[in-house]
Amino acid sequence: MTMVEDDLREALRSKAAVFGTDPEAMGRVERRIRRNRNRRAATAAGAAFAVAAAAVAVGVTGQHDDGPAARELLLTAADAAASAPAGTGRYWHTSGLSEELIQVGSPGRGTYQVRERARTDLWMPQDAAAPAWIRTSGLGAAPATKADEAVWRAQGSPATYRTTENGDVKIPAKPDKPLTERIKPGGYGERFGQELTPEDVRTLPADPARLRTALLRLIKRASADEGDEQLFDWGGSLLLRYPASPQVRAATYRMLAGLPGIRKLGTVTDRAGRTGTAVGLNAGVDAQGSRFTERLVLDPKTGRALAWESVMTGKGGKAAGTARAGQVETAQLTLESGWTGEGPPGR
Amino acid sequence: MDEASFTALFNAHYGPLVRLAGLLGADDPEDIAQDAFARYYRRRRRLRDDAAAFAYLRSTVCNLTRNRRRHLGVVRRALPVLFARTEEDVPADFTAMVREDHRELLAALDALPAKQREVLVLRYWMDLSEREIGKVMGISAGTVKSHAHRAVAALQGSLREKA
Repeated sequence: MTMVEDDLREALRSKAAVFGTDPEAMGRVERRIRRNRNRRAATAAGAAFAVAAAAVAVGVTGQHDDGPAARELLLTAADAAASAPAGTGRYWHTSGLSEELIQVGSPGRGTYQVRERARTDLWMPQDAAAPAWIRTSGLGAAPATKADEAVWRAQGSPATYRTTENGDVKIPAKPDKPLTERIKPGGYGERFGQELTPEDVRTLPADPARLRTALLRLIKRASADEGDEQLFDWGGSLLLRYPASPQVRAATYRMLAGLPGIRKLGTVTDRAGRTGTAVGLNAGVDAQGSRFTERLVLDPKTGRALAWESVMTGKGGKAAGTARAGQVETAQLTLESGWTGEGPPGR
Repeated sequence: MDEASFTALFNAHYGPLVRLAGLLGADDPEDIAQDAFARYYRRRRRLRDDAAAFAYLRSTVCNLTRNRRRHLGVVRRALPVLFARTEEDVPADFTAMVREDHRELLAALDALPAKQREVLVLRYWMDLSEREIGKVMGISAGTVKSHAHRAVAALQGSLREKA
């Protein structure tokens, strides 16, 4: 141990003592969680620590290999995406909807699920120097099914719900006022799960192999997460909300077609009631012991991505009593997207 | 993790993570730590025990701090104090609580490349092993060793220049 190392240890210790903490910090985190929930409901393919678990789940469930069907579907979507018109405008605008099932209840009286929904509008600029904007309107939360509603009534029809997993957060039933905010560089990860800026997207290559390398570099730059689940997650987000050129969109589908483990899930109806075809990856097990698959719903004829949904494929022992395998746990839906000359109202 | 342990996790790790962000040179260490917990909440389904949770939080604080500093274009000159842009921003505590020679050393630490600084803070403040540091930063133990070696040499060099 050299002198400088001893000194450094001491210097760091004395500097560390300078930083105080806000007694309201927990409340601030809860507010952030609530904001985040509305923006991008829950986890997409997760952290490095979960990759092993996900890999095991793929093996254990032993689904028949419909990888070739998934590849064929994604390549068809790629061809359609490549021939879409490029378009231009000041902003790439997407209108979306996000939803999440949340386990709530009162201690000792049973748990049930509410579905929280929010409408999200995003404006990503053509001009790298201009800011991106997001407008979020919380649509409120309500018991998810008839069974949930029965438990809610039995517990006295509370106007606010209290979460019963991972902390006690209050979820209001009522809608929120719309909130328009500028997205700071460095703020994309918190909102969408990927630290990917419109500027990053502009520089992405249109060759699938080079795109894969470029995305892996961005993933590594931004987070502690890694693996094919991340490529699926980032690729899905890119298709759903970013202003990528038709060529980069096509390359994204082709890159996804090359991911091992990706499966065709067939025709599905998304949370907005639209019919599409889904591809998915197993996403591992949560703290309640439930298993999930994450799926990208797309329209192969137009090459448009419709939704990203996390579906419970096996109910865990600690899941809410009313939870059912097959339920869509979280969803981010893109209802409309395209170039526009208009920014957010009033900006 | 079990129910209600989010609060326990927060109470146990919030302070250390604020200090970690601060030592890494974040402009607003509390903002970084709060951001990390909010992100953790979203990832919680995948992080099944407290150790995995803390590891995720630490990695996230390192990455967020590195990103914010880069985005802010914070190319910090050899400031007399490290985490302030102007003299007024310097908490009075800092000058009072940190010895002058330590302040110089911390300023030199702040001028290092981000990854070298991270390695030193994780090693000498968090007391992590090379293996653990590698996990937090997503690099190999060998790379940790070479970052540490270069960082210590750079600190010694800059202190010799001052002397």
